[in-house]
Amino acid sequence: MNFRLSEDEAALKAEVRRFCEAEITLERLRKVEFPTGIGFDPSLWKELSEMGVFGLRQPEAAGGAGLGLASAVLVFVELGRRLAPGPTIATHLASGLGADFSQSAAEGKSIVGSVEVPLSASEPLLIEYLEQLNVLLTLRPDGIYRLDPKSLSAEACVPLDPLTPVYELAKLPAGERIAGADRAQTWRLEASVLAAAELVGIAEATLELALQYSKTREQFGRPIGSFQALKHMMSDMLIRKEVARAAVYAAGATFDDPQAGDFARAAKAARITAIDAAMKNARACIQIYGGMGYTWEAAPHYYLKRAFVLDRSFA
Amino acid sequence: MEFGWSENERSYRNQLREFLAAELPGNWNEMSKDGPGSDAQAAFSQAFCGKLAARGWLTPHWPKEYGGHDAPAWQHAILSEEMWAHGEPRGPQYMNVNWLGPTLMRYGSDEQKRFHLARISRGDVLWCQGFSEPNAGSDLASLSTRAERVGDSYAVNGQKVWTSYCKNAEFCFLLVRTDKIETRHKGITVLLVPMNTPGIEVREIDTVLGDRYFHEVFFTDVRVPVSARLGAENDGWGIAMYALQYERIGLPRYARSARTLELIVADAKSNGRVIDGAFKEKLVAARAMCEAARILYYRVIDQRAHNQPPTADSNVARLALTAADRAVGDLALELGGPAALLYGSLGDGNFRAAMPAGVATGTSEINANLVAQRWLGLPREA
Ligand SMILES: Cc1cc2nc3c(=O)[nH]c(=O)nc-3n(C[C@H](O)[C@H](O)[C@H](O)COP(=O)(O)OP(=O)(O)OC[C@H]3O[C@@H](n4cnc5c(N)ncnc54)[C@H](O)[C@@H]3O)c2cc1C
Repeated sequence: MNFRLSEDEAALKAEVRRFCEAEITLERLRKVEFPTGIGFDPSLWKELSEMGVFGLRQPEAAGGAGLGLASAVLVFVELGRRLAPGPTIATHLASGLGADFSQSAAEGKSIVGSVEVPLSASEPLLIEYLEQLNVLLTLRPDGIYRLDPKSLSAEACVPLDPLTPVYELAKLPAGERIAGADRAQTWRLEASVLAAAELVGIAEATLELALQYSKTREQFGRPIGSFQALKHMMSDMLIRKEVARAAVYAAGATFDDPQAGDFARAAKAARITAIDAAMKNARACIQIYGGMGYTWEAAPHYYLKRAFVLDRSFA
Repeated sequence: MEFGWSENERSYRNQLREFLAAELPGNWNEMSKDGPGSDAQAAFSQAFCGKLAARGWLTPHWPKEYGGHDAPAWQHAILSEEMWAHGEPRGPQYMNVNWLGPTLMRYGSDEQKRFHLARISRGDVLWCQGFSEPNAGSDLASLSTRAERVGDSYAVNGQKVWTSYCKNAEFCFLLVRTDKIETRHKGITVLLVPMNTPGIEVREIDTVLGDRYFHEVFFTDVRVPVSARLGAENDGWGIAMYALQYERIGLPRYARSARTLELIVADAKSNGRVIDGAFKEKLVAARAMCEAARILYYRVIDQRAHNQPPTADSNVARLALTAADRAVGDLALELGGPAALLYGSLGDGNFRAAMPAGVATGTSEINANLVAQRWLGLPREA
């Protein structure tokens, strides 16, 4: 047992945080808001690739960093904390699907999306980031299939989350099967842990925003953070965030070391605690912002909306 | 105790439903997706409220002399339920009936009552509420928009914010400071200000709720005749509190929530979505919350019908309304299938309608503080 991050892990986390804080700003994201913008930032994506986010777990020989899921979750918490745009999770996981994937990830050219099928026949067929992708993967009960997104015709929708572009497809062809049912199943679990990591990032960011706001906004001649109602709200936010962070780290470590426990269970625990933390913290943050929380200009709503999207993804 | 509706009340509700079915256009869902303040809804409300008025349904519970029919307060509760449940075709005019009317009736001069109540009960006037300021939200008594007496008018300077439905409004129910800021609630006055008065500038605030939802309003040397003052100078706080009591328990939010639950279950079934045990439990709990909110709301209406002064019951009811609304808003998203995450869907629409209930017209924390003080008798936080 060792509950502390190793030196390398701490350094990785700090480096990614530094990058994300400098490069992924709300001003930058706002410029690409969908559907007025494309909901995606190609130059930022390239920078994320160069940082090694997508090849992180690939062998060094294949241009990766040779790290485990425990390190990957540290990175994805940071991405969630800054609302990193793009299909980060699918692209990261796809690098493990073979040489051409890891190669193009290493070259910064990989933009891979994924969608779970079959969907109900009567529901609209919605695919995130479709027009930006160079590969679309479909996860089916019997495996993973590959499709060329350029061969699909789709229409842009107006999504609830302006930072996650959504397109509606008329029809989804079968595609080429590139992995079997077992691979699809681990993909789902790993993806759900990475989504949980992003959700922890959301829980953390919204607590930080709430704290900052409540220390500066004054009513009744004092900072609103001095009212016990708000103090307790924020203590609860901290507790939820810490519970989820512990569960997400544990899931990452369990994947890397199967001796440590049952990964499927750890993944579910991560997911359940993280979605709870992200949703409730984002809502609490909006509540603490008062009227300001309902403005487009303030950051909290973007986090709540991203949490809704992640709640649906890889569930 | 008597929980049933009379024959009259039941038939009134049925007539309202038939009326709505006939009057709401085929594209109503699309039209109402931006909420009551949108241009489309504000415009629609003018003709629609006129039709309600012509049938005597817009202000049925008002005294005859003000354009009403002396009906019991319950008629208005039924009207509000049906309207809000169906996306509020009265647009921003729901506020007129909910709190402006009662406040004007209680505090208005004869001339003000004659003029404003007639307009409201005819259904062709839009109002907005100018209370909140950038530095005076929960702490409303610290408001600083100044009104200086100059001859027989006031010169108003300052700024309001979060003013709902303001772009299309003809009048503003405005709180101004007429004494030193240190006098707090003792130096506040109400003015009824035509929005076309020179010196008023309205800017829309981009919001997550829908178009034209709320605004900032700037007042630069705006001249308002003293005759437009409601009540005496520096007596505005009591008037504002009276208005807020009506506003807080104005919209029967549970009615929309309860209807939403039916719609989302129908939608889920028709799309073959699985409603498993966990979902059923949430649905049942949310339905129970709507029902509890309804009863608590009725308790406040009953107090009003018996001319009793308002109590912390209205704060409790407000908190229950908020909780029910939010539980249903969440479920609408969760159970709404993939399309729920698109703008204007059933899930999104209800989420947006439910979201601000815990902040608008006073936050949940402030309501809870009032319950602690008024009902539980606990001391104020230092
Ligand atoms: C959709 C919507 C429509 C609105 N429409 C109108 C309108 O038409 N006209 C109008 O005048 N106003 C309107 N408002 C404004 C609304 O009344 C205020 O937003 C509300 O009173 C809170 O004020 P604030 O936004 O300044 O938040 P703040 O007062 O700054 O509150 C921020 C946070 O601090 C908490 N807080 C503050 N004081 C205390 C305390 N003593 N104890 C515990 N917690 C505390 C609050 O609960 C909140 O969580 C609207 C608001 C919304 C969201």
